[in-house]
Amino acid sequence: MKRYFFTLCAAFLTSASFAQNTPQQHAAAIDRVLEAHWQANQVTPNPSASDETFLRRIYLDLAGRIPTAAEARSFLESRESGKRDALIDDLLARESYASHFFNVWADVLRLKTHFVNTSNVIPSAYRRYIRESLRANKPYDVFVREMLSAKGYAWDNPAIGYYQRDPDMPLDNMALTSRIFLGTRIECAQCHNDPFDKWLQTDFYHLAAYTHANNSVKEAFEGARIEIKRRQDIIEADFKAEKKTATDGGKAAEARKQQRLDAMHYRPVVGVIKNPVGQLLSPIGLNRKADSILKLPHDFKEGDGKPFDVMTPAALMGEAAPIAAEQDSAEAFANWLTSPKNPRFTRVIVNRLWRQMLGVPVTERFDNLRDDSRAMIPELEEHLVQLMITLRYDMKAFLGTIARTRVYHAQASSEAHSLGSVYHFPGPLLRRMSAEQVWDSLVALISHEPDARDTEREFIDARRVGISQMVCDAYLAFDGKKLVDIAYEALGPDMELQAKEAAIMEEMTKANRVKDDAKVLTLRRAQGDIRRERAMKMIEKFIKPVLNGLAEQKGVQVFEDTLYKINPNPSVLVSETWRRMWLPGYGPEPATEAELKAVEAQKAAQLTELAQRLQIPTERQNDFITHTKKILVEWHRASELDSPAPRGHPLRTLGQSDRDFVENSNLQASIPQALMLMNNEIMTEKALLSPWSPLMLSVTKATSAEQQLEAACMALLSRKPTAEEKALCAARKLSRAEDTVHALLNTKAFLFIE
Amino acid sequence: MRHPLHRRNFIARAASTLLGVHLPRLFAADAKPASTAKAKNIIYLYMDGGMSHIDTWDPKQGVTAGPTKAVKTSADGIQIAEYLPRTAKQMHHGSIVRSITSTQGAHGPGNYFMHTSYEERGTILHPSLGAWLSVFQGPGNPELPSSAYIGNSSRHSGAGFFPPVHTPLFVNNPEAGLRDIELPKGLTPDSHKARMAFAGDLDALFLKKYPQREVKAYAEAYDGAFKMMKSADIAAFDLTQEKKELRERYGSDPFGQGCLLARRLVEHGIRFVEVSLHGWDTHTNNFVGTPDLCEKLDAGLATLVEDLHQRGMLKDTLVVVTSEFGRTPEINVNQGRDHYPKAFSSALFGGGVKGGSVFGSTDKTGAEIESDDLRVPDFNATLAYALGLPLEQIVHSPTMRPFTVANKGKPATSLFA
Repeated sequence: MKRYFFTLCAAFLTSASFAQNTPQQHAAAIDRVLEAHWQANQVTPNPSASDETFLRRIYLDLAGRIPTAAEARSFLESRESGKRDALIDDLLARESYASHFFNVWADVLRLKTHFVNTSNVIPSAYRRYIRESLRANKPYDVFVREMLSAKGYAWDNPAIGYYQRDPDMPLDNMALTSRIFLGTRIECAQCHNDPFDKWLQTDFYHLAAYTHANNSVKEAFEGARIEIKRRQDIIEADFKAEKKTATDGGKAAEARKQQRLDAMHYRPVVGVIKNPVGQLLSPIGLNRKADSILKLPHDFKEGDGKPFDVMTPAALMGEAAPIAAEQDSAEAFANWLTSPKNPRFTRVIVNRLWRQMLGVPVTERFDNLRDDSRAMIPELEEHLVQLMITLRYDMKAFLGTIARTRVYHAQASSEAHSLGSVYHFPGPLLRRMSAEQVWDSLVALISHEPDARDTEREFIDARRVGISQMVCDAYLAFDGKKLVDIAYEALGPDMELQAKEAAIMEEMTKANRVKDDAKVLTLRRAQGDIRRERAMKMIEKFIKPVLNGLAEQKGVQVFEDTLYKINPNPSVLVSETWRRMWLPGYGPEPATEAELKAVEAQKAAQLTELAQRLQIPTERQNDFITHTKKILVEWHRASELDSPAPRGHPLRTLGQSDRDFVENSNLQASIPQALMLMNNEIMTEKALLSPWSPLMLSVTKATSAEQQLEAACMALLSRKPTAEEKALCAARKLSRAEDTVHALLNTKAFLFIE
Repeated sequence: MRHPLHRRNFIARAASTLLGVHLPRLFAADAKPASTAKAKNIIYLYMDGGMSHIDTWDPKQGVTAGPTKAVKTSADGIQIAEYLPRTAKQMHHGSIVRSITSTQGAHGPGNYFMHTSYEERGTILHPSLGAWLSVFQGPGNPELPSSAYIGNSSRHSGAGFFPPVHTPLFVNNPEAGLRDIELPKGLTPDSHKARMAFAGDLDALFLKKYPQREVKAYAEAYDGAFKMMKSADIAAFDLTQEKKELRERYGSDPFGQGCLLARRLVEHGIRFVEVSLHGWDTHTNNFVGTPDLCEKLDAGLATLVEDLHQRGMLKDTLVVVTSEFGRTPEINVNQGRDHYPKAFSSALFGGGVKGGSVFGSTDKTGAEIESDDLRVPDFNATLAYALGLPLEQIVHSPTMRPFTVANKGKPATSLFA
């Protein structure tokens, strides 16, 4: 007992003093572990990497792109002794860090910008949440805990996007959660005991029981539904009472009941309430089903239970995770999973980040851990786990530490690592850039603002969330009875118009039969007109009263954003109306025309200034500005584009994940990649080879072919050409700057990270 | 027995495979189709949105029919809806399946199920039939992708859990040709050659420093790209090589031109080509929308069958027309029909099917299957059977889960002659 006490004290003291260490000291401690390992295994570490190699590597690892020629020169020419340290800190503090790691996590979390058939409110909010979490350097355990315990509306708690990535599929989601955060594959056990690992199907179900109550919130008019049901119940009760005293066996009562029910126009009135929100509210949030019970499936065949046995929540490994009274079971689950005491939680993240920097994790299959999964260097992994706990899951601090280790500053290994053998980490591995790193590097060669956020898109995303919140609140501002009353007010005129439309459609079917195309066309137009009229009526009779109700309640004015261009298609006209409206407190305020003009003017001034700074000849400045303006609108980093990029986009050709599957990106060579890098429009004067691209501006300044090669090498490879390369270039008689640049873009030296 | 395609092999092979070039046959023993194979190629025409069976392949009388009339076809005793007059004249080459039933009534899951035979899950992406064909039998032409998808749907499971090399080539616009296959405008072949020669010089130095497979793979990819740029087979993508009259007969819309492109791709060794026609979700104005779509389908399909037949390709090429589900026998207040997965139809032409036949039937309203019900996996097993794919062969995903080509469906072999 005494001995135990001392060990505990010692551990506590070490970790307390450990915490106050500088990144350099933390890195030195890792070096000592590795050096001991090298010595014991007679491994000679790789020689130190040059400044040039380090520079390109650290930019790609922390900023997600190659340095610009100017950035490269400024670092390489600096004589400061601590310049590598300073660069690491500088890069960790930049927005490009959040942009790059957003891509990394988008691959892991299968982040999609568009969910099929939904409002996209949750993806919009979730996307921003991930980006902001990375920007703010939220501790990893907090980040994961927030996602795994999330519930509420998207605008209040955007972390619900994690569960809502798989709406109403809590079992599949749990299988992925276990894989992503615990490196533990339990998907086999979803349907039967795992034949390859120890997991029982009941293990899976016990774990899944924690989150099984997850439930999509898809509407905000539950009250109206209850009210309509209440009205139906009254009719039913009247009928029953009348039937009791009836002399005709209840025939007349039955007829009266049917008449009253018909007069309620149940479906149409629900339609009035439901249709105007279209997909704005589907879904908007996540809550927990009350009294959710998870049972074993009907085809359960294992020996440790029977079909339909009730499964209570129980942890998969490590300590138990009891649910306290009044505690949300997802919260108990999140606390257990993210605890430093969880045997796999910390192990997975240190491997993920180590692999991110060195090209290979310490435990090769860290996303498929079993009890016998050994790290290649167990003492290194154990050390990293302790470090992560000491750093309180501060990811930037952890990455900054790895970036300062001796192994990170070594040359890349010339040999590849083969799966199954031990890698002694004499240096990093040679890695192909990820699809996003290639793309972001191209952007840095094309655009003068390579790390700019797409503020336009951010505004639209934020507006989308705000609009749904506004619609939701507007519906909730009324009790069910009032909402139903308003709906009936709107229903009368609508039904008259609908009858007219139905008559037109019948006419159209007839006309189509006799192939009277002219008449069909006329009738189509007439139908369009009626639909537009129906939409306008619905806006006036339903949407405006509902929205005004919310405005009154909040004591604010409805602002109409006249700059928002409404899609005139009558089928979306009604829901488009919401998008034009804004109330204070619901997302960003739409800009006025004057404000937009001011922004435009400011941008123009900045471009003129840029032209002057780059010493563009006066007579060509307009040309430069026109081109650059277009580029700044069209060229953004991967993190600013749709996730995943659309099929056929260079990002996809380069192997970006389709975001259907965890870590589904790939780094394989392919013919379409070669074709793209040789022949795509990007490689022309429309983008990279434009005289105004930062790339060509830096290269065309040179006067001789040799100087051009030097400038091109600096811009694309962050180094000067070797004598041998110069000779080869001269032998190939490449005279124009475009030739050299296009050639270098197609080299492996460009595509790989040394 | 566990199949040898386990993860280690899988990764090693995936890393060395490129877009169909030097593809090692993953299944050396199965590389040849089964001797029972009926067809070499499939052209898969997908009616995106849910095609009304009652207004196409399974016409009815009375209230159910609405204004739609049945007409005679070139096959004795077989009637189809009046909106497919040219197809009616080709019916002696085809067989109608009137008894398909699906468990999925929403578009996404229905589409996924029809393409993969598996229900959509969050933990795995199942491959489509073209990818299975590529895995089992390799590409038909080593210089081209093994399968192609012509259309605009963003939903397509493609290679699923197979390596990306089995992904279909996606063609959005059949008339646009192949992406990035030509030199950038203004660049002469000589300049290009000189540029790439210098790049090659630098790559040789780089490879010396890093003699690794991943680096070498790029040299192969570039060689493959050079070969492709010069390949005569690229002409397959050039529709302007076809006679104007024939192009018009296929229909000038993307679907019709897609059917023509499909024929050309099959001719050049791409063995599985899907062409998609969207817009079938006729909840309103079904009797205007469906005839409009049928006009496009009719031109593309009938011309395709006729064209394949004239070229002697129809016996080897199975043309499939299918959809995620049918539409309700009831006509709703908007003159439309809603989703109906319980009973619906598909049609097969050529590829060894018994011409002029019908498989299965529905009752007089098209609501219930009366005979020979064919579940979606059975339907896909029928297609896989036609290609001679091993239906029983278990293949493990990288996560070691076992799968078969049509999810253990039973093929309707009686469809074939």
